[in-house]
Amino acid sequence: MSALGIAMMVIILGGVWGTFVWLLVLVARHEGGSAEDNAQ
Amino acid sequence: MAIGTGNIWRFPRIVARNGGGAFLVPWMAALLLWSIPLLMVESAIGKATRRGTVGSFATIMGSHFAWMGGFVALCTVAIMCYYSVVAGWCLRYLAAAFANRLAGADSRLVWEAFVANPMQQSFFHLAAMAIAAGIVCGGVAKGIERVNKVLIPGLFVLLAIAAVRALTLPGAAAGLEFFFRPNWGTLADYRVWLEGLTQSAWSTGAGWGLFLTYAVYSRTREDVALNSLVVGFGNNSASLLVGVGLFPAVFALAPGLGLEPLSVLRESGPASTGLAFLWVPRLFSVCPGGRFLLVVFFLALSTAAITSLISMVELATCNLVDAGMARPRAVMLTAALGFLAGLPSALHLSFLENQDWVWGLGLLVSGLFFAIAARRFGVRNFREQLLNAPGSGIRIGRWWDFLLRFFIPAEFLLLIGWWFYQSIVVFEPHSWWNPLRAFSLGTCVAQWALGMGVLILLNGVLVRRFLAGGRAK
Repeated sequence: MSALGIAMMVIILGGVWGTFVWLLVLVARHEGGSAEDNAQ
Repeated sequence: MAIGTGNIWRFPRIVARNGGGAFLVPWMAALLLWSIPLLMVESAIGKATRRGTVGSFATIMGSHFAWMGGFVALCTVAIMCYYSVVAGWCLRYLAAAFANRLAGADSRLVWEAFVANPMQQSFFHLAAMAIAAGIVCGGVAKGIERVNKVLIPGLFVLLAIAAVRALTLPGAAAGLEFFFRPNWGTLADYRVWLEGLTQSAWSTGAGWGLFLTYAVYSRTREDVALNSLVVGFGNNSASLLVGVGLFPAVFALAPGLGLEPLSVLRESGPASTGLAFLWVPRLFSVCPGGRFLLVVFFLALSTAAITSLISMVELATCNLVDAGMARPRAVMLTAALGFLAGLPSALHLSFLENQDWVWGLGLLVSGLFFAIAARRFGVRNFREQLLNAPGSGIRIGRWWDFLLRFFIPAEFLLLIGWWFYQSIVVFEPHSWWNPLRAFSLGTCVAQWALGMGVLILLNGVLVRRFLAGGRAK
């Protein structure tokens, strides 16, 4: 693979998959907070 | 729910047609500038009104606009009717892959024998609709949520298994190179940007009304903005995973059969069946572990199709429940009518292609209706009251106001204007108006106008039944 191809692959996969995982973590934290609120 | 056949068989074909890696730029831009803002609008409206599409539009925009919600439902239900046929094809091929009837067979003959058999077509269409209806019948929490908690992560696992297997084939790197290396010159072609927008809208489900429907059942403290971002990025993550698996597989296996990889990826075939139903069985059957890979591929495709079909059945059910119908009866009615209305698509591919053309494009109109709904409510008020509600994990800034107020309507006008111009001047200068031609401008406008006309005439009835009537349990 060319250097440009590898760079684009890293940027796109890292950007999209990284953001998706980060958002899932945010959702998990948000749901955790809601559960506490609900318990209260 | 947003992960469906659009990711597995539409996305690779559109990427291949639009220059490979460079297409990923407009596709990502469309996610951020069209799909995610509209997903936020849908979810926020559903959560605020707690009604299906018809009741939601009447509540948010006023009773004169119930027909707009009716049109959103009409588009999605019309898609549901032929989508069930496509889901049936996936199930049929899954069964054939399990029985080892695909490996080594002439895939074109297998396909032609299947479509020439009306009993088989109807049976698998019925099976797909029955599976989706059975799950929806269990309700959102006990049926849909429970099933999707298994199916969606399972789909990601299946796609990952297929990707790992494909990446270990000799010559796979050429596929990755095509998928990621951009040819910047293709970005000068405006059609690449338009394809990026339509692919994103089709694949994420923005403008379908499906997210509005699920938001009806969401918790009070549900963060609609965060959920919309997860859905949008989850959809694109799945598409990338498909690309990472499919492009290397095609580039590694096609030359061995004397085929040119790009022509394999670009060939649409009857009803866009080319890659999934004609080429994948042929390519995978010649690689080591191909039978296993075929089962994995069609299991993933069937899973994706059924989860999307479930959402469409739920949308129709939710509206009927708003009209006072009991849920089991609403599901049965939706499934029965969906099956009957889908039969012409099961028996005649040309009818299916026409419906895909008309109602797939109709989704852009649905998307515009959601943007209009937010504008009528007041874009700033919408953001502050419905998106940045107490308990939201992230705050949406003023950029969203600009997108909804100006950018999305401008995108729609450019897209539709370009399509009208191309149809009248370039594609079909002598027959663009003809409603009997499968892919004409006239057939779209005629079917949309018929649907909208009936809905506008029945607006008063819709308001009485869907808004004033009591919502059944």
